[in-house]
Amino acid sequence: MRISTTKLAIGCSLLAVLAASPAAFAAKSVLEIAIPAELSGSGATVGVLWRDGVMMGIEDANAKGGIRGHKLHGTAYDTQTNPAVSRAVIQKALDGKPFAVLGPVYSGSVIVDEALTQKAGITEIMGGEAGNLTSQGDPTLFRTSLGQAQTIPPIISYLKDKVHAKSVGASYVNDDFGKAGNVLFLADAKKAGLNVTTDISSEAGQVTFQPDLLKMQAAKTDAVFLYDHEEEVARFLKGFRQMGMKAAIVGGSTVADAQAIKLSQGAADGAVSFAGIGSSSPIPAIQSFVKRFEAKYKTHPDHNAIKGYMAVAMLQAAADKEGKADAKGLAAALHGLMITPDKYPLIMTPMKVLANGDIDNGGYLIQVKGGKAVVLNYVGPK
Amino acid sequence: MMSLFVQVLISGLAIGAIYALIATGFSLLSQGSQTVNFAQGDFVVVPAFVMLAANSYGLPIWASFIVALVVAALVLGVLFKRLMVDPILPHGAMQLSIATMALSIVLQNGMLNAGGAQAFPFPGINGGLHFGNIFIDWQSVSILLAAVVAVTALNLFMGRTRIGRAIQASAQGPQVARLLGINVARMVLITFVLNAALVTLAALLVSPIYLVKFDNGIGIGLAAFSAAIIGGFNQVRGAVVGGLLLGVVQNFAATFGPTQYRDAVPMLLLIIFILFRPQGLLGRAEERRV
Repeated sequence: MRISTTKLAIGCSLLAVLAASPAAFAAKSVLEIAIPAELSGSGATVGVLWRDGVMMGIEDANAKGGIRGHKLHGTAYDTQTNPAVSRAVIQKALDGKPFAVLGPVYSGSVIVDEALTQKAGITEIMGGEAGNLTSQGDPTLFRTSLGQAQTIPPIISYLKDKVHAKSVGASYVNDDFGKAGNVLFLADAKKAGLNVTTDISSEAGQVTFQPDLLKMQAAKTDAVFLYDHEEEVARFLKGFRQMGMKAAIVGGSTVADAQAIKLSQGAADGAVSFAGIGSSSPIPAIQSFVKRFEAKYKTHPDHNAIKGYMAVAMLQAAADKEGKADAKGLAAALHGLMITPDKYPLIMTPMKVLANGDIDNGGYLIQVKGGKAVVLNYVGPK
Repeated sequence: MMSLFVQVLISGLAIGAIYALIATGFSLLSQGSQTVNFAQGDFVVVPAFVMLAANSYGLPIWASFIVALVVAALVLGVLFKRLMVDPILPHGAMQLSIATMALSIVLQNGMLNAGGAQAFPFPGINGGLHFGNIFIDWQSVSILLAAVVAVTALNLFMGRTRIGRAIQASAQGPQVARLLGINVARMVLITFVLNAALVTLAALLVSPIYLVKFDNGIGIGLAAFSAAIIGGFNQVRGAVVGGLLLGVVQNFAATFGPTQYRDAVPMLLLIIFILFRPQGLLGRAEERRV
C-alpha cells in the first residue's frame, strides 16, 4: 500500500498540532494528586484540615515550580469517614492514574485501601497513626507522623516517672486507631508494672461519656489514658471536669490537639500527650505555617493540617532523588530518605523516612496549660 | 455501688429527657400531619447553629435562644408546613415521609457548607452538687428540669386550653373538627410551631454535651425515633416515657454491660417492642381496614 506524500504531510501536521495543543501539553505537565479525606462524618474535623494542609502544600510547591517542573493539581475525595467508601473513592482516584495518593487520615480507612494503592504501585502518604499500618509489608505506604510504637513508650515513662501512677484507667475508641493504640499501651503498661484497672472502649462519634466516667470514678485510678479522636476527647474531658474527677490525664496526640483544646473549653487543661510535630511545636517554620493557614482558611490548623502540608514535601524530595517525576519509582525513592528544610522548605523540620514507611521527625511531650499546648520536653529524631 | 447506680440513673434520665423532648415533637407532627418527619434530628441542629451565630455577634445565650426560637418557628414551623407538607401531603403520607428524608440530606449539606465540617463548642453550665459519694452535675439537673417544665406545660396546654383541645380534635378527626367550626389548618400550623419550639429547647440543652456539628442530627433523630416507637407514636405521654426509658437503658447498658455493645442494647429494646408490642408502651393499637 502506498501513501501519497500529501496525505503523509497532512497526517504529520495533524499529529504535530495535536501534540502541541494546550490540552496535550497540560496533560504532560500537570501531576494529579488524589486527596482522599474524611470530609464528612465523624472524622470531618481532621479530614478537612488534612485536605486544606495538602492543598496549601500544593499551592506553595507550585509557586516554586512544582515537582521537577511539573505543576501539581489536587483533587479531594470524601471518604465520609467510612472505610468502605474510602476504598471505593481510592479506586476511583486510581482509575485517574494519579501521581500519588495523599490520605486518608483515619487508620481504619487506610487499612482497607492500602492494598489498592500497593497493587497499582502508587505511593500512598497518609495520616494514620495506628501501629499496625506499616507492619503489613506494603512498600508503597508511608506515614506523615510518628506511629504508636514511637508515641506510647514516652507516655508510659511519663506516667511512671512524673505522675508516679500505680493504677491507670484506659479509655479508647473502638476503631483501628484506638484498638491498636490500646493494645500497645496495655502491653507497655504491663511491662512497666502499671496496674490497668479499667479498660473501656467507646464508639467513634460517641456523644456522652458519663457511663465511662462513672466506671473510671468507681475504679479510683491515679491516671487516665485517653486514646480517642479530637471531638470525643473534648466530650470526655468536659464530662471528666464536670464530675470533678482529679486523676492525671495522658494520651495520644489528640489529647493536646488544638481542636480538642478549643472544643473542650478549658477542660483539657492539665492533660499531657506525646505527639509528633504539631501546631504548638516551637519551630519558626511551623509557626509561620500556622499563621498563613489561619489567614487563608480562618481556622487554626492542627497536626493533621501540618502532616498534609509535609506530605507534599515528601513527594518533592522523592522525585528529586528519583531524578524524574515518575509515579512508579516514588515509593522506592522515599525509603530511607532524609528530608531537610534547607532543601525542601515545606518539610519544616528534618524528617527521616524509615525502611518500613514509618517516619521520624521528633516529638514533644506536651501539656495543656491555660488553653494552650506547652512543650514539656523535646525528643529529636534518632 | 448504690451511688454509682443513682448517678447512672440520673445521667440516663437527663439524656432520656432530651430524647423525650424530640420524640414528643415526632409524636406531635405525626398526629398533625399523619407522617414521620425523618429530618427531626436535623431540626435540632439548625437552631443550635442559629444560637451559635447569634452568640458570636455578642448576644447572650438567652437572647440567642429567643432568636433561634423565632427563626425555628418561621423556618422549621411555618415554612416547613407551607412549602413542603401542604403541597406533598395530598399525594400521601408515605411520599411526605420520603420527602423529609431528602430534607434531612439538604439540611445536613446546607449546614456543612455554611458552618463547615468541624464541631463547635457551645456554652453550658459547669459544676455540680455532691451528696456524699454521689455527684450530680448542673447540666444534667438543668436538662431534667427544663424537660419536665416543657413537657408539663405542653400537656397543660394540650389538655386545659381551648386551642390545645382543638389541636387534639383536629389530630383525631379533622373532618369532625371542621364540622365543629375548628380551623384545622391553623391547628396543624400551631402543632408545627410547637415542634419547632421543642427542638429549639432540645438544641439548647443538648449542644453543650454533643457540641454543634452538621451531622449531629443523625444520632439524635435515630434515638428520638426509637423513643417514640418504644413509648407509642400516637401518644405524647408515650414519647416522654419512651425517651426516658431509652436514656436510662442506654446508660445502664454502657456502665454495667460490655462497652463494645453499648449501642446494640437500645436497638435490641426497639426490636423487642416492634415484635411484641408494636403500639409501644402507652400507644393505642390502630386497626386498618382493607
